[in-house]
This record gives sequence, structure tokens and C-alpha cells, in this order.
Amino acid sequence: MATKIDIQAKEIYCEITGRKYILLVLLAVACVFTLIIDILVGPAWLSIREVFSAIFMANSSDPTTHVIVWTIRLPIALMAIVVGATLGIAGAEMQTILDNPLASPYTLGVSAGAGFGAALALVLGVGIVPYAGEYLVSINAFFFSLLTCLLIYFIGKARRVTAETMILAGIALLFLFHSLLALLQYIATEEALQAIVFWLFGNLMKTTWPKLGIVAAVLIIVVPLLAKDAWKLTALRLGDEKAKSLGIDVEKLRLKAFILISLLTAAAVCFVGTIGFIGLVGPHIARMLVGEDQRFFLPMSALGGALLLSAASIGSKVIIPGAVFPIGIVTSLIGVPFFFSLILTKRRGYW
Amino acid sequence: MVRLEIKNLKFSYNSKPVLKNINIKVSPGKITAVIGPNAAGKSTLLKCIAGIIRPEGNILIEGKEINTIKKDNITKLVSYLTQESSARAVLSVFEVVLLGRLHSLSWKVDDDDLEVVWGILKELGIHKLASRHFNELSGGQRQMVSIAQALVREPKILLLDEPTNNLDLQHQLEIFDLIRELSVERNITTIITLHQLNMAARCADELVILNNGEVYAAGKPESVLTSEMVRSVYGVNARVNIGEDDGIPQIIPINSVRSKRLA
Repeated sequence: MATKIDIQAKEIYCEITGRKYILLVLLAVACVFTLIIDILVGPAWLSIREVFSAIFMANSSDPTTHVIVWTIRLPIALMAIVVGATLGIAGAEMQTILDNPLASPYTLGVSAGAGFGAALALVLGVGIVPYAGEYLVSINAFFFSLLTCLLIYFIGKARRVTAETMILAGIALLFLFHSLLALLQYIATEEALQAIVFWLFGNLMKTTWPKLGIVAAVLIIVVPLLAKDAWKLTALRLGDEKAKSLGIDVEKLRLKAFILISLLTAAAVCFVGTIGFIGLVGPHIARMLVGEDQRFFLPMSALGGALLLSAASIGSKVIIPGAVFPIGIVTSLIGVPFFFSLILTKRRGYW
Repeated sequence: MVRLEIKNLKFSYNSKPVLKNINIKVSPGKITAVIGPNAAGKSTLLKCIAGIIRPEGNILIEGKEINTIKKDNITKLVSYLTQESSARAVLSVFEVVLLGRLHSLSWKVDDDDLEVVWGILKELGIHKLASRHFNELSGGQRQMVSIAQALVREPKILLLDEPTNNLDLQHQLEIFDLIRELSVERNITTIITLHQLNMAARCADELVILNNGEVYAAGKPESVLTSEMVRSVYGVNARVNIGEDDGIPQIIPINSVRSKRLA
């Protein structure tokens, strides 16, 4: 028979975690909801029945609708979810290991690095991997974002791997890549310049199934590796010293998480360009809703990012009917009011 | 029996020696207070024992050299309450204390762990705070939670760096009573660093006085706490009264040696 203390302990634990499970489910449902709307909305509006039959009953559906749904809407809508989740997680773990609320792939210069890499390919046609064809720009962006992460890490390591040095290194690199990018823009032809600007806006329109598959694969591989260290990452929030006293090799944990984050970020930005806001705010939304127990914080950051980007994807199509705005422009327009409303309605301090 | 033995311990920060040749022996079930002026090396000594920093010399836990014990096992044996902990984590008190059992936590939390956490929270009388957020608590409440986190690991060696920081007098006494009770009951070796000499005299079985990284004196409070020690270690002129009923020495400071010189 369970003792009294046993029952009380479980009760209090269930009370703490129960609410978080409900919020996770709610946000997941919201993501499915925006995903469906995202598929319906576009220059040609589709009905739920049309989409349903195009997806599940390929033979009986209208061929045009079939093409729209399968080659355009579905991959783009799913890409919004996957990239949103990826950026959300990357931002969440950056904020965790760097102990800083401003850390995100964008603020630490990783996106800027990717942008420079992409511009290099667009302006000079110079690629890291020769003969990459269609993927030249993406591969360049991927490698330059990894390079940025590596630089951040090694500059940080030159003086012990502390959060502050890594953040300072990231911000310095942000400026470096911005000015290099400006230089490239200055010497670029008008055509190339337009391509760069368009890339920097961030957009999902060039999504294809293989690209979606690559980002999704990285996400699926990396998440379990981060989840394995969920408790350690949670403990890190109590400060390095405390984490060490709990037996955590803090520097090793930080390095491991940083490598995983770098992969996530690089995979997310290389195909869709600069989307700044998600990686910063997704985690903050998660923190406000479920706190920083990583078992909830990690999936919640993913869902928060996915929901924001999916909503932005819808927004990018309805602002001007018939036209699709670059999504990078819309994310902040949609995200900032939402974020402010959360800040203003919550009384607790979150940093 | 000796639970913890420290032999010829030396440690330097950036080639500046902080600990010079420390030798200490501590038995189970006893509380040892490490006292000494600022920068005497008190916290550094605890960090060495906790395995956070690697000193020269030997630290033996139950006769085994600490370097030969696996890190996970050290973590199970030794629990260390740091002087400062970040208050920024958005975690509930229950979760913070649960983290103390990091070595046994998996994705799904065991009932055993929940029970131990709840038991300690009740024992410390902070179970009503369980679902409150850690960063909303007062300094004193946070300190209680940190103590709970250190105790929840059921360690054999408990290291507490200034455990009564931020606590009012009543809570200080309660914490010391609880530490005493647990040390005896669970046969824990407890080492505390403290600034208040009178509190140290009252709560510790043994005192170790550190000065400039060296052990100035060690032993029972009544033999160590002398006006001569206070003058040469702290640079303070003081009177020492021996309590009539309990024999505990009490230090009454008079003035700083320096201020006398100035006068």
C-alpha cells in the first residue's frame, strides 16, 4: 500500500507537470490547425475537401489541385513547421547553454554567416563544393553558418568556454559578416543584388520535398541527442558551479549542445534564408508557458517556433491577396504583437 | 573511523597559492566548521573535496583516493552546496530540489525520487513552496531550497559553503539543528564554512581555522577559539567567555587591531 507521503509527492508532481502536458497538447493542436490553413490559403484558395481528396485520394482529385497541394502547398506548409521547430529548439538551447535571453541563431551572427555564404555563391558563383548546381547557395549557407558556430566556439575556448566570451564572439562575428555582406552587395551586379536581397528576406517558396527531407532529418537526428541530456541542461540553468557540483562536465555538455545547435541552425537557415525572430521568441514563449524543465521546454520551444512560422506563412499569403510576401518580413510583424501580449499579461520575471 | 582524510593538499589559482599543505581528518556523524578570514581558502577547500577543482596532494574518502573514484560515484558520495546559485532559472521549487537527484533521474521520474524530494521539503518545512517558482522566492527561501537540494542526494559527505547566508536568526538555528540531526541520524560527515565564530562554536564538533591557505589550528571549539587566535588570524582584539552551563566559548569582539594602530 502506498504511504501518505508517497501519495502527496505524486500529487504535487502531477500538479506541476499536468498543466504542462495540457499546454503541450494545446500548442500541438494549434500547429496542426495552422498547418491545415496554410495548405488552404494561397493565390488559389482551396477548400478542405479539395485538399483532403488531393492528399488521400490521389486518383479522384482534380489534377491541378493535386499539383498545387503536392508540389507547392504541402512542402511549404510542412517546411514552415519544421524550420520553425528547428529554429525554436536552436534558440532555446543557445539561451540555455549561454545563460542569456538574447542568444539566438540570428543575434549570434549565425544567420549573418549563412547570408554571407549565400551571397558569395550568388555574386561570385564561388561554392564550397564545386558543381553543386541548384544546391550551391544552400551548401554555401550551410557551411558558413557552421563556420560561424565554430569561430564562436574557438574564440570562446581561447579563454575558457564561458557564456560571455561566446556571446561577445557571436556579436562581433555578426558585425563582421554584415560588413562583408555589404561589401559583396556593393560590388554585385543588379541581378545578383536582387537575388541576395531576396535571400536575406527569408522565404519558403523554393521548398522542395528533398530540401524538406534534409531539414527534417537533421531535426529528427538531433532532437533525441539533446533530449538525452535534458536533465543536465536543466541543471545548467542553476549556474555552472552548481551544475559541476551535481557531477556535470559543464564544458563538455556545452560543447556537445553547441555542436548540435550549430547543425540545427545551419540546416534551417540554408534553405529558407534569414528568418530572425523565431529562434529568439519561440523559447521565450515556451519559458513563459512551461518553465525550463527541458523535458517540456525543449518540445514547447519547438512547438512555439513551429506555430509562429506557420502562422507567418499564412500571413505572408493573405496580406496582399494573390501575392506571396517573403516570410522573413512577416514573422516579426505577426510575432511581435503576440510576444508583447504575453509579456504584458504575465507578471512573473523571466530573466 | 575516518571518513575523509586530506593530506598535503595544495592548490594555486594562476600560480598564486591558495591552499598550502592542508592536512585534515574528519569522522562520520560529525560537523566540522571551517572558519577564517576572507580569502583564507575556505571555499577552495570545499571545491577540492567536491571534485570541482583538482588540487595537488591526496583526498581520501573512506580510505580511497578521490582520483581513483569514478566521477559519478563522487557525486553520489559528496553533496556540495555552493555559495551562490543563479536565481534566474524558471523552475518550480520541486523541480529545483529534484535536480539534486540528477544521478538517478531519467525522462520519467521514479516514485522513489519524488518521495525523497517531498520528504526533505517537509522536513525543512518548505513543502508549501513546492509549486512556487524558484526565482520568485526571497533570498532566505532560496537558501532553504538549495539546502534541500544538497540533502536530497542522501550524501555521505555534505559540504555547505556559508549555508546560513541570507537567513534570519531563527532559520539559522533551525538549519543547524537539522544538519546536526541529519549528520547523526544518517551518519553524514558535514563540513561547513562559516563567518560567524559564535555560531561555529555552537554548532560544530570540530573547528578548522584557515589562514592564508594554511591550517592555523584545528580541534574542539573550546580549545581553538582563543582571544590570541582571533587577534592573530582576524586582527581583532576580542574577549572569550566560556558559557557556564554548556562550556561553549563565546567571542566578544572589542576592536580591530588596525583601528587601534590608527588611533
